[in-house]
Amino acid sequence: MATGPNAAQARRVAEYYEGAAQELVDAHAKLERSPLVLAVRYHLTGDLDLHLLEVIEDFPGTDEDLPLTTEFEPNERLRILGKLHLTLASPRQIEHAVRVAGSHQRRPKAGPLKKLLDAVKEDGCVLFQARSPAGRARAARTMKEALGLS
Amino acid sequence: MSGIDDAVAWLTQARSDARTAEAVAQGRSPMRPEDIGCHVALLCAQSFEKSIKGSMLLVGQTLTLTHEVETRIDSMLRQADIRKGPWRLLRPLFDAPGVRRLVLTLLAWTPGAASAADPNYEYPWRKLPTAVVAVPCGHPLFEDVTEHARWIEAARALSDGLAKIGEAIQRGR
Repeated sequence: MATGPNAAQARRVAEYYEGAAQELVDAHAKLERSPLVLAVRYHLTGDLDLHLLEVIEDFPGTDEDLPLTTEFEPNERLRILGKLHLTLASPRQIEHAVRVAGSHQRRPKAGPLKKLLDAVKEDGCVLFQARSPAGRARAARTMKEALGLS
Repeated sequence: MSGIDDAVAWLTQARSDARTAEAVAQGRSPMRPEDIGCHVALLCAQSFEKSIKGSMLLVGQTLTLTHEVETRIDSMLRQADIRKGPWRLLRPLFDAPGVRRLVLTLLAWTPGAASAADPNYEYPWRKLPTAVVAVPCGHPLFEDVTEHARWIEAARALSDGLAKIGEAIQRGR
């Protein structure tokens, strides 16, 4: 394990990011109009950006829509050194994405999708999992399994 | 409540209007075939109007009814273009093939936008004082079923796309 001033600084940054990500997700879990099913932080090391995947009940669009990924600069609510990469999808869109990324005849957009799902599977850390009501809790468990996080 | 929360609320209602237009287009009893067209037009126009208002709030503008629809859209998109992140996704939705034409066509049939002598989807009108009164229900202007499908598809795509952007901005800003 690395020691010294650089390692101590890296640990402090990692701890700070952990707290900032959790605080952000906790705030999102309070949005009643668009209930959070599952929130996963991934790409935990390597850069100063924060990567979040949030599965939202009734997220708009058809079941075949790809997850929406956007970037945000640091702001008053989220004080980090890099960018926030936020990916949003409904449970059905995630299931569809998993199918598309895993199919033998991949579609043109399956490349980035597979990269995202592989990254989530590699070091994804669940920051929120719905525990109630029963249907949402079941969806959260299904999502964890679909994303390879169980 | 912030402007973004308001935007998400407007976009939620825009989606509801678009879904309801789709249901109305099925013309289930007790609706009669002539009831469908003007009410699909009304609901799609309502959805477009709320989508525009929601977009204006997303870029930090205040809601106004004083400008022409196209001016409002262009002004809103200019504000969106100068930002980074999800705001840049607004323009492709409004510039998608056919969307502007449909938005302008349907909103021109909104009572208030139309003069008392012009066709609209809600109230009877008379082109000239001596002309026969026209009624939205059953009027040929609103009867093309292929057009209904285009209106509904555009209203759903626009309101769903904007609602996704609204959700993202609400979470990441």
